[in-house]
Amino acid sequence: MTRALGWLAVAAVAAGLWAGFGYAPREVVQGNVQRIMYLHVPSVLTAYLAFGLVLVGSVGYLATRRNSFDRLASSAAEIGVLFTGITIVSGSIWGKPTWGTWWTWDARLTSTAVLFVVYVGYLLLRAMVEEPEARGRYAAVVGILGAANIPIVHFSVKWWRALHQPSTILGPEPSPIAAPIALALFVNWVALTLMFAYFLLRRMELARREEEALR
Amino acid sequence: MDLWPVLGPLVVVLALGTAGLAAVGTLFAAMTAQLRARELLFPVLLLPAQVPILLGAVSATQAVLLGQPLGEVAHWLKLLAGADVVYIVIGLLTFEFILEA
Repeated sequence: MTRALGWLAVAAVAAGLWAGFGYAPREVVQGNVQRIMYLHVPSVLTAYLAFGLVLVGSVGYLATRRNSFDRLASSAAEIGVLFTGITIVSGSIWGKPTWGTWWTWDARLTSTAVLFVVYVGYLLLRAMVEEPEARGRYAAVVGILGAANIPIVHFSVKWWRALHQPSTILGPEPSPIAAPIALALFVNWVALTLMFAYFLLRRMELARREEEALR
Repeated sequence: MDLWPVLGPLVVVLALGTAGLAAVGTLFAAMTAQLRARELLFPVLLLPAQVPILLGAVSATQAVLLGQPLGEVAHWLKLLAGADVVYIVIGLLTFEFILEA
């Protein structure tokens, strides 16, 4: 079952690569650099999904004290940090030729950096607590506060400054993105979401076996 | 500089900022006090949680000291108040989980 999902994810990533490099046209203004978007945008959406699941797992663990919720939260946090890292690195590589700088303290860059630090802190906290039950409780509190913090950080940093273009896909107006580009983006988003689901199931299974081995 | 004319607005900003810093600081301090490497973990956890409070409080204080009315920084005050409510409510709801056992 999990293995089939893995192969499905591989097939979807292959389709995503073809959609991004073969099917989608070369962007008029930015040229080929724009193709980084097919990795950048799906990565950040996947990271948000992951941190949403950290919240679900954290609340679930405090409410029920079932270890499966703790495994969900910790596994999703690890993969979320991975995808946030991919978002920041791919954005940097895109930013150098487009904005002329690897990094700038723009609103969305800053809030993504804060997001990264929150969940690196979450993982660090988990590494510092030996006792599984206390680790689950502490991590859950950080997981809940971290998720609640995301919108607050978003607005504070947005009013502080802005250079990044506003969100095109998640905004209220109909998307101005050309249809082939939007389709390529969609295929890559599905691919990364499947890849995320596969990683998550594997990581949770690994965490379950770790618990069994240590019991 | 003369602080008396801006004292009222300044107190509002200070109160909102301090409440948020204290709420989230107390929560994380209670947690990390029980851990090894607490000197490392406490600031790592605290800093990102305090980013919005610090940005809001510093921006609002700057405007108030320049003599602008509080209406100019209403969005920051709302953000600070919202962050205070979120941190205090989450703090109250989760504090018992930190102290148990």
